[in-house]
Amino acid sequence: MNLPLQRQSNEFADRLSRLIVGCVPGAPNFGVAGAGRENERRIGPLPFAHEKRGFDFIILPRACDDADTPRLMLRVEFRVSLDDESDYLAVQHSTYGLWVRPDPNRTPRPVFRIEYDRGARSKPAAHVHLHAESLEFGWIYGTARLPPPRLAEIHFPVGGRRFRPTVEELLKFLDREKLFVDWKPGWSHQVEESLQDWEQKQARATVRRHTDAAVYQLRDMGYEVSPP
Amino acid sequence: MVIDVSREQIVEMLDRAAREAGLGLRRFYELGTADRLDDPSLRDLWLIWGDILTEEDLLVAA
Repeated sequence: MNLPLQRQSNEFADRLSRLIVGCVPGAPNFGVAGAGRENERRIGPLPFAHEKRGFDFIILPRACDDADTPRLMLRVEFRVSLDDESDYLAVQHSTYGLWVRPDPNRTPRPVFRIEYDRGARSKPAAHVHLHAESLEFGWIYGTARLPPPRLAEIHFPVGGRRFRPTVEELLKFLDREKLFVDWKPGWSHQVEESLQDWEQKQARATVRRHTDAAVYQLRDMGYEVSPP
Repeated sequence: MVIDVSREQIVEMLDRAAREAGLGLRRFYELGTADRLDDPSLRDLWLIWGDILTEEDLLVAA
């Protein structure tokens, strides 16, 4: 077994569990699946049921809904591996999204989804899909005599590889736009703490990737920096 | 928590999801590779699990 990958995947799943369980009433922990692949792990909310579709939704229990009939839910799943130096965990793909079930007799459908594809070539690595329609978009394509795509097929770029949207920002967005407000007490502190942790990890990763720029900036700020 | 699931079980899961959406496993693979999967649930499955599939899986599922 790839122990560094498994250990860091478990740590990542634990961080996500603390975040979600600390924010959403009744939310599940996250689990790590290897599925026979030595160099990759998949992380998502439990329970995991391969006889269904794998990882489950995270139910967002609104006070206005019947407790037995969840209407609002999140999908949060990751595919991870170690980075090129085999030192640190790197997210290869992720998908977050808000899904709704207006009709309890039908399957949930997405409102928006945030995808990340680290190796993307023909689209931005981090992008949003809006599951809606826009007359204005249709007008632009139509007047240019191009076949209009559905709005959900358009990849709205967000943040790039290093500073793409986080689960924490998704939760804050839901609250700010009043899409979901029935949080657990103290959720906001949990989100800020987790976000701070994420930002520090990303800052360190940025320094590893852009060492010259980091050294330049530190020297510019008066630090003495010498190579190892 | 570490989830005990085999590669074969994941292939079965993907095959079932693709069939329920009116696609075979090969079509799911082709559309996923071309970034042309319309069904958002299948897109999510592709992003997280798509690389599991091999040519042998596609032949077996055909």
